[in-house]
Amino acid sequence: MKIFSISVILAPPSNSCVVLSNASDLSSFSFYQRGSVGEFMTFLSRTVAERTPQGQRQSVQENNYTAHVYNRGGAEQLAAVLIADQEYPVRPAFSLLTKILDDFTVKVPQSSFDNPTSISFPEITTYLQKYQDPRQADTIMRVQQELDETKIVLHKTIESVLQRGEKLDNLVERSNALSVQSKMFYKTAKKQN
Amino acid sequence: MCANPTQLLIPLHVSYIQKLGDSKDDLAYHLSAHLRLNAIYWGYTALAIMNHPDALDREQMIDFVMSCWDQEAGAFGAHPDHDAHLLSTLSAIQILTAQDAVDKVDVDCVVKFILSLHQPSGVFAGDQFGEIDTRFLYCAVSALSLLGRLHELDKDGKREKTVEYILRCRNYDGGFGSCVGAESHAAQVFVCVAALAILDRMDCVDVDTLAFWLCERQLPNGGLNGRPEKLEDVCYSFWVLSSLSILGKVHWIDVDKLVAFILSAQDTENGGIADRPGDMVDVFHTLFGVAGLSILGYPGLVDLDPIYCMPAKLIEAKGLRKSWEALPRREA
Amino acid sequence: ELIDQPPKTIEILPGDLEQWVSAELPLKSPQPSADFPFVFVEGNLGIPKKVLYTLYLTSVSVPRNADPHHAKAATCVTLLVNPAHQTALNTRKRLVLAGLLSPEKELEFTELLLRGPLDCAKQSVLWDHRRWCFGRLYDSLGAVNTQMPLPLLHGRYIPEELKLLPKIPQSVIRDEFRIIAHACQTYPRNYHAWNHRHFIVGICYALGGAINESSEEYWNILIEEHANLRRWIDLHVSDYSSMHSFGQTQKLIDHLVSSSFPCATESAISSLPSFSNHTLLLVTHYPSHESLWMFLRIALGQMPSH
Ligand SMILES: CC(C)=CCC/C(C)=C/CC/C(C)=C/CC/C(C)=C/COP(=O)(O)OP(=O)(O)O
Repeated sequence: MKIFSISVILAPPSNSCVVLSNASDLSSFSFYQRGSVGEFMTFLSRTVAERTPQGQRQSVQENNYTAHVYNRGGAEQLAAVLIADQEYPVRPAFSLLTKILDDFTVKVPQSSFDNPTSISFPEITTYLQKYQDPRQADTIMRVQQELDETKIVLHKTIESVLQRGEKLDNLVERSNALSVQSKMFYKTAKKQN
Repeated sequence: MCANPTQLLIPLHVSYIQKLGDSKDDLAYHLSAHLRLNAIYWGYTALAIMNHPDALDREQMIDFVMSCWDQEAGAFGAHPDHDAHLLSTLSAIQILTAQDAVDKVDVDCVVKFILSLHQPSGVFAGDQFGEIDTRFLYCAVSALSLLGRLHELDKDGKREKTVEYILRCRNYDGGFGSCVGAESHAAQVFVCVAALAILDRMDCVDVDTLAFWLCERQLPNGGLNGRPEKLEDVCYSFWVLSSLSILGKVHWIDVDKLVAFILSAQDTENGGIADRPGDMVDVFHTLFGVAGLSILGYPGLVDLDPIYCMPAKLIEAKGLRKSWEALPRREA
Repeated sequence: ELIDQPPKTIEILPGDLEQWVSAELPLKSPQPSADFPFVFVEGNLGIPKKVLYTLYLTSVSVPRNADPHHAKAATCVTLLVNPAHQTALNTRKRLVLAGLLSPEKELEFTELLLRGPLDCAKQSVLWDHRRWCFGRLYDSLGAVNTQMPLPLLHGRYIPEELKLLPKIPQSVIRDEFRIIAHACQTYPRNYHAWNHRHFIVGICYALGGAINESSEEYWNILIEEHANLRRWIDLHVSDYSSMHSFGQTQKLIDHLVSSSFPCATESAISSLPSFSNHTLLLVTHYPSHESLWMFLRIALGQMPSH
């Protein structure tokens, strides 16, 4: 099991999302893939955060990845997204997301949300490393109990969280955040699957 | 593509296989050159099981097989100017046997090649450079048997050593791997069990343990995988079912669900069967899908001998039939 | 080719040269062009797929007995596209036998392949090619030590097989484990990579059990690998291949310990929770994984009787 990326995202309803803080481990990807995979993970994180109503938790499978999203909303309008492989267990993923959002709201003042580059939240990298093995992360059991698993919706395809008629392929094609090369990598990865 | 075919689309698959050789300029054709002879065996056998044994030109097939002869090694490569190997040699023997054209080959020479690959441990190497695998052991045993030369293994205790090697590949789950110490894998189970059947040593198999493991390969969607927690794949319809049929336990499988799974992997426009629904079709999965359906008693198909993966009638006529049990053929 | 040094990695890039001509590459790197239809950044070679396929159509038509220079280049291209091409690998073996290609270089080349294009790592022929190269490079065990005590052979080897094992030096063994781990990561449940691992573990076992000055080092590698594998399983709970492999390794270690081989002291592994406890713990945490239940069965089946 592997966590590839974690992001904290400003998700105001009916507005586009902004990534405030992010950590990723792309060491298992090849040299030329890494940049594209990184771009794609950010793209995916924003896309699912935008399509998750406030107060909801959901897991969305895309290719060999699962994106776990918690859009907490609240005064800060924050969401967090964790992209892992399909082996990574669901409960620890959401415990971690809750924990990160708690920690983030304490450490990062809301006033800095307008200027994401000024935000420093190095803890996110530590979480990414520590939670690679969910059994090793000691605090997990405590948070886990607060979590009602039945409230987490699992989507087998990303299409089911998109609007009717919307397709990931088209979103990728239209995105300005993805380079020509990233779009090519995306297409080949799809074909192989 | 129509959503979920409930029938085997025989005419489409026949024309799909017939057209395979047409596109010699395609990159795809060149990419699979190292499997050409195997592909002809897969295509021909699929056609025979669908009761269209004459859909490919006999002379052309035989000529191509003969053009793969590797004079230096004294056996067949997968393609003209490729090195001889047991994998392609078995395919050549199977095609020539089915076409009743074995007399074109210097059988002594082929037998010599096969025997030269027998190792002291009892396994066979695939070629002179020595990769070993129970796959190659099966190829050797099956080819010798088809050539009527299995008795050559009786010299110097080769037969016992061969059986011994297979048994050393057995794991606690009852399955077999590709070499001593390797993980059980459904396709490797087939080669080991089928080789034991040809060598008349089925008494060595722990039938219940193995059959249980094989049935555990069936997933909720009906398809079979080759090992625990892996994806389903149409080709295991053959590797698992043929093994179960040699063990006499095909009825341990949920037949309807498996049939539906295989049928759902068909390309309903251009013919052919894929590894799983929605993927690209190929001739390998087309054969093993059809072969699986034959073992399951699917209507309109010809009986398949699960040990040699050739038409059952042919194997019977050669007096090579061993004990196995498929489901009775159903009416359409 | 145009590059002096062998690349650090080779990768097949999607698309055609055109799409990469426009890519933003670091200024120091050579820019792709019709004369140099590749991408080369920090020692990493990228070959656009369509460029490679064009080369392939030429390379596959180069006959087996072409002159060595052509044969080398052509088989390189053929194998990049089609790593299961047995004849191309054999052609290279013949070049090695004729002294025209060094087995060390061949190991470097196959390592690039195994770490490169995805489907390379799953080809049995490529892993076997490495074993063949090891056989050319190193003496076999039998020629040096034929009086291997019999209990050591039990189950795993018969004497004739043992004799053929190459005496691979420890540092090379360690590198090999790293290549295998990489392959099992990028292509999960990689059957042939795990088999190759069995082969290497078997060598450690045979050399660790031999009575000579280096046996302790091989025993240490075995213990190290045992620990690595345990960590691996903690992080790959649906990877039955690794669990099977762990069971095999454990069996060999137990065997060395119970046959009282000089180096094989129980202390090295006694600090870890027992095999069965470890599997129980995992099953409790992740009960939905079929692999872990089968792992538990392995553990229970291998419980030491003493
Ligand atoms: C005459 C007939 C029918 C066969 C000839 C005998 C041969 C060549 C049998 C081949 C059997 C075969 C397909 C072996 C596969 C070996 C193997 C261990 C493959 C693992 O491949 P993966 O791609 O990892 O597949 P899974 O993920 O499904 O395990």
